[in-house]
Amino acid sequence: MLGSPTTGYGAMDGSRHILVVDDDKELRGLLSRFLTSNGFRVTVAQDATAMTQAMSAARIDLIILDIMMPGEDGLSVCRRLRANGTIPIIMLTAKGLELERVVGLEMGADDYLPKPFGIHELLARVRAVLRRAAMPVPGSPAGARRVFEFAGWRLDVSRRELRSAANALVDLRAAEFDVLLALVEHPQRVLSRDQLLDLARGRAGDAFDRTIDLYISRLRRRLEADPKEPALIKTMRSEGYIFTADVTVNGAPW
Amino acid sequence: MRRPDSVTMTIGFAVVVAMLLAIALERVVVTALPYFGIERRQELPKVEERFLVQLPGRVAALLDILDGTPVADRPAVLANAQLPQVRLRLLDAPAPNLGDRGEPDAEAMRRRIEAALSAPRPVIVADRYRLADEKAGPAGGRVENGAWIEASLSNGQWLLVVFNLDPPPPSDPVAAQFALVSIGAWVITALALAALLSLVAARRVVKPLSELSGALDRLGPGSDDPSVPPHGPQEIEGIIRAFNRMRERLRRFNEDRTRMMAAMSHDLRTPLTRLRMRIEMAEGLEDQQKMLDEVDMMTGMVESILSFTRDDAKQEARSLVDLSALVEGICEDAADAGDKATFSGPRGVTISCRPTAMRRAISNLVDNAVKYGRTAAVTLASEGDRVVILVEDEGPGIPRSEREKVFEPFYRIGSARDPSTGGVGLGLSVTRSIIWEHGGEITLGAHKGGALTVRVELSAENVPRQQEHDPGDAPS
Repeated sequence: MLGSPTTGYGAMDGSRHILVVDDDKELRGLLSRFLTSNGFRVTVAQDATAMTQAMSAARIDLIILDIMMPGEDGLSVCRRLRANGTIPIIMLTAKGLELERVVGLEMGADDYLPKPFGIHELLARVRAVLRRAAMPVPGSPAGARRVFEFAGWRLDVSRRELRSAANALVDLRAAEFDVLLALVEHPQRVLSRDQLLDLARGRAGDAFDRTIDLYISRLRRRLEADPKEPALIKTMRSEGYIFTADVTVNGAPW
Repeated sequence: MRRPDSVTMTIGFAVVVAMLLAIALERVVVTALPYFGIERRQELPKVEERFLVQLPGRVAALLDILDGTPVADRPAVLANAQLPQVRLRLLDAPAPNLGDRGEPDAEAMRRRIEAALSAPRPVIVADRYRLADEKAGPAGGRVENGAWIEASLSNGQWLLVVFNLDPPPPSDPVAAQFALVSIGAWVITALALAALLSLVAARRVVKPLSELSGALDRLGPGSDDPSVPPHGPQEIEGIIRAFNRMRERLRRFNEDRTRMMAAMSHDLRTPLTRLRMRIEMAEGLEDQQKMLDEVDMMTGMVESILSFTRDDAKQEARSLVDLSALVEGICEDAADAGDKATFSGPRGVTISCRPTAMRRAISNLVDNAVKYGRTAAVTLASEGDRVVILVEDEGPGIPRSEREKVFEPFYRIGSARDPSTGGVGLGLSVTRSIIWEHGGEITLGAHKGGALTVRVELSAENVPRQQEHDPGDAPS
């Protein structure tokens, strides 16, 4: 059962070990089956105690953590894990509970997924978090708060917020935020649509390539003084896009 | 036993003190009245009568005694024979008398004295006499109420009996003026004291009450106002204590409900997640997409009921938000999903709001417009310190009589009752409670011969409130 990929793109995940912490036995079983079938090694735990045991028994690459559990709850577990290390965490939260999302991210979760989630989205998030964990941001410890600033805008990565020069919150969809983050992290570099797609978490699905352009145009309507004459996100004909602004992170040049 | 700070005691105390003040004032006024020549005339007849009846006998008796007393001893007798309001003097000859003799009253008095005498002697009685050697009184030295009696004694002496019922003249006019001023001051002080006292008493009753009514006004689910400190008169303190207990019960009830909702939402979500995973993982399942759609619809219904009951809009922090971007984003989402939704309005209109709640409120309106009215034409306008959002569709509209009812939870009109539309009748309720919670207004109207217009009015907040996470904690 271990590491036997059943889908084509699972091979690279073969050695990754995921710990699923959820109090629902059935759901643990389903998650385990699905992730295993996608080439991950999976251990399950029904609560915080079992989680600690599993972590001392084997090296864990990522934890999928339910926010609501009997005994120590997910938030507390997350805070404890964050205090002791940088292990990637995906939180399973209640949809629509903005508070849980924000608190979860502030407790140091790398990502969150509202229940009920689709399995393809779960897989995409797991891969994205593992990939980000494998490429630590230079000069910035994983899990630390990062705030990018460019042309008067502030992009708060841990809170997933974009604010204008007047400090007004600008509402962005998750994908818009991810595309913008990919651009901001790579300023003055031409990014092809494929690279952008890959950087912005690499969601599975053929339609995404088409909507990269759509998200870019939506971002331009939010950011550009004149969306028809974009100055921040420029189109490089047939190549992709380039983000032109000077970027600082936590006040230092990026 | 009532405590001294009860309403009863407070009011009672105020009344008693007011009465005491009134009595004191009355005494002062009555005492001072004669200084102003204001007499209590109703009392005079009694005094006059007393003297008219008693005086003749006494005067006659005195004359008889003096007559039998040696001249040298007479002043001593006189000194012992003091009569009230009567002055006695021994004269060597009849005094020049300026009074009116022969008055009926004077004549009556004279006859009475003569009748009481043991031996007849000359008696002169004058009414309204004038005293040459007396200081001028208010009536110019003339005694209005009194009598002047002269009677001859043996040895050629005369007895003068001056009977004066007029009020004593003021010692001097400055004192009279002072009395006037001090009475005025007294009256004003007494009135001011009484007013102050009633104000203090009323305030003691009213202030805790108005504090309580303020707290009652703010009382609502999720309100975390501190309890009102119990104070004031006993009965009102009792009310405040009762209110605080009620508030505590409500808070506990609310907490229980929130906990129950959170547990329920978790317990419902888990089987929905399992179901969704099973459908997605099943190989070669027919109608797989339809099943997923059903799960999504159920999820949506559960979400909307839970979020409505939880009232979790209030848990979110307020922030300065680019409303233009938020509304335009909602329209873009709808357009991406293949619906006809358009946005027009200025960029960069900002308000202070709870962003997720506001997004839910506006997207409910856009969803309704495309679902029941085919299109959603959204316009945003900044009107002074107000921001107006109009959502117009091309549907049949809502009859005037239904426009209020559609805001009620679980109320649905005809077309919306079709279960395939997926609504549970909470969209507008949720929207309205969010708009209200933001201090805004939402109204339904009609345009273009009946199609629905939803008008949302919010107050613009261009001055950013102190942000929960302001730029201060990020290096700049």
